[in-house]
Amino acid sequence: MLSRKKVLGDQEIFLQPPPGKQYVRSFLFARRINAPFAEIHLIPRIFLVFSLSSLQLRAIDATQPDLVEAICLWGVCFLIFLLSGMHARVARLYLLLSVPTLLSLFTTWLLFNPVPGAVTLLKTQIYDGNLVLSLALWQAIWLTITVLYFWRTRKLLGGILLATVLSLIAVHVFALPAWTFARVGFFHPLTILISNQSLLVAMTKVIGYAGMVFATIALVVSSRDVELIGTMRQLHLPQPVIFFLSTVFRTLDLSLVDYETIHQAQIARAINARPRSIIKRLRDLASIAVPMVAVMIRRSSEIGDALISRGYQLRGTSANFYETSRWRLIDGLTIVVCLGLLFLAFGPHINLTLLLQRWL
Amino acid sequence: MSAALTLDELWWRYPTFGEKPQSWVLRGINLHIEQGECFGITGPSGAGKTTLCRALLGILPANARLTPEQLPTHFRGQVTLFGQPVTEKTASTGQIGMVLQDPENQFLRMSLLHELGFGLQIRGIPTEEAVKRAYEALCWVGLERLWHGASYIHPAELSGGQKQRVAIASFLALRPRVLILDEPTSDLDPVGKREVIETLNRLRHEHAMTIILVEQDPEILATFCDRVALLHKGYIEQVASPAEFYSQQRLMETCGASAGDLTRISWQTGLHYNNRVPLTLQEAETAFAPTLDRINWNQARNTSEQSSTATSSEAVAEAQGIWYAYDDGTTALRGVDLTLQRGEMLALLGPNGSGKTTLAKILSGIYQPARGRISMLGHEVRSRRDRAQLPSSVGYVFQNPDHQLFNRSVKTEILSGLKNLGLAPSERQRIATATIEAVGLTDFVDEDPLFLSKGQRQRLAVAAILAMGSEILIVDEPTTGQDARSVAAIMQLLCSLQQQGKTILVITHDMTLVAEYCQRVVAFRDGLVSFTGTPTQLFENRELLEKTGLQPPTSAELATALRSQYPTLPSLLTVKHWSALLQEVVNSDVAESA
Repeated sequence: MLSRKKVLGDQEIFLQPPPGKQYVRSFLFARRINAPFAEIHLIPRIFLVFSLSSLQLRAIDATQPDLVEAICLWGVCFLIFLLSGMHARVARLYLLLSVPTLLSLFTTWLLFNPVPGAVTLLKTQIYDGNLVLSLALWQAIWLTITVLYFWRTRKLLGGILLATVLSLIAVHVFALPAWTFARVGFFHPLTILISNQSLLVAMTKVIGYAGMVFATIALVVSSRDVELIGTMRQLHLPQPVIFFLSTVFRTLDLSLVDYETIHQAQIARAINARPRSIIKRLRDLASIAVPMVAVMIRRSSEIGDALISRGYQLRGTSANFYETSRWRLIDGLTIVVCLGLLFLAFGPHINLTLLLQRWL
Repeated sequence: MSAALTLDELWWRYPTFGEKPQSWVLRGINLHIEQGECFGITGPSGAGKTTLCRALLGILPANARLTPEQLPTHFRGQVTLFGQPVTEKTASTGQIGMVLQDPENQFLRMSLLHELGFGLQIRGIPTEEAVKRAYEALCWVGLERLWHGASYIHPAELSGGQKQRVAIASFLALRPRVLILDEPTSDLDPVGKREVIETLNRLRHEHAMTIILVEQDPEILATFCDRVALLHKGYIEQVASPAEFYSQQRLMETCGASAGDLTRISWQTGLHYNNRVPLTLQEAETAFAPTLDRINWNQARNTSEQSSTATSSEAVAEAQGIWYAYDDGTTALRGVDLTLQRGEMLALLGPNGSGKTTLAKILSGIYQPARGRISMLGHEVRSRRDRAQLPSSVGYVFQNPDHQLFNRSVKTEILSGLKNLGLAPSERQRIATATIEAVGLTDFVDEDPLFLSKGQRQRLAVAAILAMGSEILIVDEPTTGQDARSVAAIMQLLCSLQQQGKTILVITHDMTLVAEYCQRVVAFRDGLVSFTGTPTQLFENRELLEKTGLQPPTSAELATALRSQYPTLPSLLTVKHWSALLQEVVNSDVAESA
């Protein structure tokens, strides 16, 4: 007979990190077992990310952009990102990926949102509000290059790019003839307008969204399925809902394993042997669906059998088994901070940038 | 003794969406399983073994959602558990549980602690009692070291063997009176397999548990089961004690059921132990000793020499100092060296998680080694581009054919790899036709791979890789969970490819297969190569076997056991070797008596 002390231990050793283990699997990748952000209960953690995001949305409002506030909030979000316990290599990868994403967001906002300001940096009309129906020599040049390129290489995208570049050069260097048949009014004229104000808005937006992304990643990385189940239990959600969600997470986990194996099988079938166009790569991705569906059907049937054989019944109840977390002082304090953030997000607005400008 | 389970005239067929009804999967099954008995069920693939298990648990017909009018068309007969009819609610009573073949599908939660506690939670067992039972169950399967931090251990962090043991432990925690195990050890290495079955056997005796074991491995059935049933095309062909069961040579061969080495030697030589086939080494020693006494050993040495396929000493693949670590930090390979010689069939052996598959994936260009040098067909594999070209010379056939069939017809499946290599359409067609013919799938050219049998899908997977003209073929556990006929068909295919000059690397846990077909073996342990040499060198050396953590095939074990009695006994690793040795004396006896 096993003694209680041996099974449970003085401090329930099954709840203590195993010796030498530093990371634990979470929804996304893994996190450090003792990550500070993960010490907070899941409810205040979600609430904190929601409150920060709400306040960020106010800071990046195009009518009253608050760059200083966005930067401050970004700092908080980045701190949370650092405290999430994400593996340094994965964190670096995310940071690296976020740079081009934020750059494209910045450029897109700047180009497609003409906001007038005190200083105009660039103003160019790119569309005069009329559609021109015409034939031009550059079109023939473009088509010829594209067709020839495809005929030689069986690739389309490269041909289109080459043809476009050469046609643009030809149009600017030579006065190529064109024959206009009609002009039809469509939409309104489009102008690229970059002013000091549009730069301010674009920067605020980028910083704000970056902060939101970091906070959300931190939340997903730091959370485990068991925490979610425990939280749902504490919120007294119906048992079938809790069970359904926990099974979905487990199934997603299995699907990722299957996806990886199937992708490896594709590599073994030489998909990387030659350079492939984006279309072919998309087709490769789509072809994964055939084995994925076959494997998932078999898995779902077996998971069903496994559930029944454990005695699971849809209307049955299930006791808590080390899923719920205790509510602690830090959780209460986090909720207070969140309420403060929400007050700032939805109450009277204090624009830190304007305050700073006045003070300076 | 009273019955734990009885099946009375059980018939079942699956519902179909078409008008034509499916054929019966179970046909008039009558069984009477005693309390505390270990009852084995075996039979070829598709015989209805898993369906029978599902019926025993009450999953069928409940899960088929049949109306009372439809029920008699699909389900007839009765199943009772301890005298009570089995219904869809039977599983929730806690009296019966079922461990499935694939442990991955049984992991319903994402930590070891919660997985062990899942069934107990459903039953409303108090937390303290649930923890106690979970710990005990984990100890029973020999994994108590995982208890520390069990709530932090994810299923993906466990090896195949550990997963299967956890799956068994999660049922043991429920303390069922009847436990059904549907091929629970097919993914395990021989040592792990034996450990799991021995654990179950011990628990059966300690807790008077009834065990129903569905298994292909004849040695496990013969060693641990009180009675064995042969299921074939939905019929129970025979139920008998293992000794009697395996004595029915004609029936076993007709049904394509697997038989162990000792049984096959007995069948082929007609030598018996107490008028039945020998099942243990001691019985075999007694049965064969009189014949061995009359052998002229000088002559015998020549006749039993291992037949070897001619291989050249030219290295087609070389790996030197290969290191590899997974993203979670686990170091899978620690400076591995391996040379593959042209035209040989080499076996990669080792316990679960020892690094065999990782090295095979590195050789086929799927993984990039952290350190080390790889040379393939005389070319150094240095860059990513070099690795991308590897599939044209090294083909990798995955264990599960379902993971590697991407197209909707057999022909397009073969063509897709050729297209990736950039071959001309006419060339692609020619190769595809020839390959389909070579693997005997000509009648299924336009068939959807999903509708082929598992054996056919396996052959198609080999064909799809083969068509790409690979000089080297890596086959990952091709015979796992397959019946005797499928194993023979796959190995025949690989042998014919070897005879055509291909170099074959097989990853396997089946030592009989290694002894019968492979010229060389490389054994792995903890990410290191622990042995390189011939099967004879490995299987006849106890120290090497201990060092590598492997078990020899029964034929080799028998030879080792008899060597103290017959010091000049030659190397005998396979049934073929034993039969050749013994047959001569048996034939001379027959001639004399004639």
